[in-house]
Amino acid sequence: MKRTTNKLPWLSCFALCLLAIIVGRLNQAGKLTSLQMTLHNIITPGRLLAAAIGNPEPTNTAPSLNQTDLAELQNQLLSNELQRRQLLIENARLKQQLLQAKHLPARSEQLERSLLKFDVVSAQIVSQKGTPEVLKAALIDAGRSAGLRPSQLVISNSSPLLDQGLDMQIAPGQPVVTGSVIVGRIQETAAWVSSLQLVTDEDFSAAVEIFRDSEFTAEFPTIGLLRGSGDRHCRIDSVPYTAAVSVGDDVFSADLNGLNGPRLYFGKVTKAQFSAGGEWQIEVTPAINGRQIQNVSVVRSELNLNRTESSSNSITPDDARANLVRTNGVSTGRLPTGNAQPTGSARTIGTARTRNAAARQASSPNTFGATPRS
Amino acid sequence: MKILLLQAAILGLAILAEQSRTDLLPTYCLLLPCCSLCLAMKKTSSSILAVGTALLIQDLLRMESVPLVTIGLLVAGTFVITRPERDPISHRPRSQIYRLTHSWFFLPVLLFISGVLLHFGYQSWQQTLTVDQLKSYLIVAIPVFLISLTALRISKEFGFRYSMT
Repeated sequence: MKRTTNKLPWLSCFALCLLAIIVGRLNQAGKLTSLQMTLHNIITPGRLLAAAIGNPEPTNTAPSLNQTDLAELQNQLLSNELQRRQLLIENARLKQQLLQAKHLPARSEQLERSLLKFDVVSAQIVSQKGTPEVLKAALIDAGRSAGLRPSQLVISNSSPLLDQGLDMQIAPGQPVVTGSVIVGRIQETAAWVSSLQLVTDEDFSAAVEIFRDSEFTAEFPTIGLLRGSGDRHCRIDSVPYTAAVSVGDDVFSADLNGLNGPRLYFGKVTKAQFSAGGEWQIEVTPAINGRQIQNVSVVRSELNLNRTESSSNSITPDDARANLVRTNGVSTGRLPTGNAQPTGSARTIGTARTRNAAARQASSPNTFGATPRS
Repeated sequence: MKILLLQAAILGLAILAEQSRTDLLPTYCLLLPCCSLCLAMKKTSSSILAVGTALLIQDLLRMESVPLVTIGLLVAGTFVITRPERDPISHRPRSQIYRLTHSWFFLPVLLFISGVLLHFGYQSWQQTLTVDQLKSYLIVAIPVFLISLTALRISKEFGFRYSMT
């Protein structure tokens, strides 16, 4: 008998073992489902033949089935097939969730390190037109026992009324959203309620970015100032004629009260024309009609206390002073004394920034987002 | 080529039979004896490829995640078929008794290895093979193995140019 003496059998064996391991791993990961289904389909005729040869009973029993049983079996088969497809979809969804969960720790770690935190407070629109008399009376009665004046309890305007107020750290200017779509902002707040100014309100204005929905254009958004028009639309001003704008472009918020936060969606450009002054006249249709929704969320921004507390514990006054000296460009090698006031730009800039922000907030209480940029 | 086709037919029918009557035939009860038979039929790398492909298909159909049986059987089969025919020291042909013993032990060894691996690797380590399942596996596998062995031994009588040694 001829016997193989070369290394070819071992090479074949090694290659097949490797293939078997790969197939096993892919099987475990569930990536060979389609191949398995194909294989099952291929062997189905032979399997049926073997089953028929091995067990002839089904052919004898088949005619005994009446039409009702047959229909019932077909229904069961159909429902089983539907269930199988649903399970396949569920399986794919769970795999996607698993994939996302694997990336979640890195994301949460990044959030832990950031200085600002954005969170949302769920709220319900209790009234579309101001505070109803019944609610007004109930609020005043409830507030009286707590020692609050009616002016701290009731909002007297005709804007939609939300059921969250100062007790939930709701403040004027905070964006109100549903999902990632902006509905408006907080206009006034009271102890337990607040009023909502819709994006279509005449006094509403916000800095926005217009993104072109095209794969051929570079992603440099056009910046403008969105204002409510009083009807069901908004308009965008301060867009120069050099900017590329077209109907169908998406409009997102540029920032949140001057902070670089999550981009919120306003709507789509529905009309874009040149005006006589050399600027665009752009009309935007909001993605959501604020008069037709009931549940919204208020976006709040606050300092990440975990980070500020841990940082303040780890930074000693000497470190802070040395850092300040480096920032100011002092390289004398001698640190200022503990009583010396920090001089130079750091304090001045901080103060100026705070002052500017306060002034901006005070001068334009109805404008969330940065001052108009053109 | 004829032998390869025969091997493919045997292995394919074994897979089909196992897949069609899962109620009667435990997994691998036909395929493993047939694999042993194919390896004994022609001791070349083409037999390894045919057996390996059949076992891979079976792994795919069973959604096996730990292909222990496949790897074990391939390694054992390759090890047995690549034994040196001559003595490595004296370079003389092996004795008739040595060759006969190893040839006779070839199939039982493979069957035993497969059974042991099947015991450990059954259903991806999630469920150990119970005594009943092992019994049902052996009830089918041993007769198939004996029939194959007898067929190989008397093949020459039927006109096939085949010899176990």
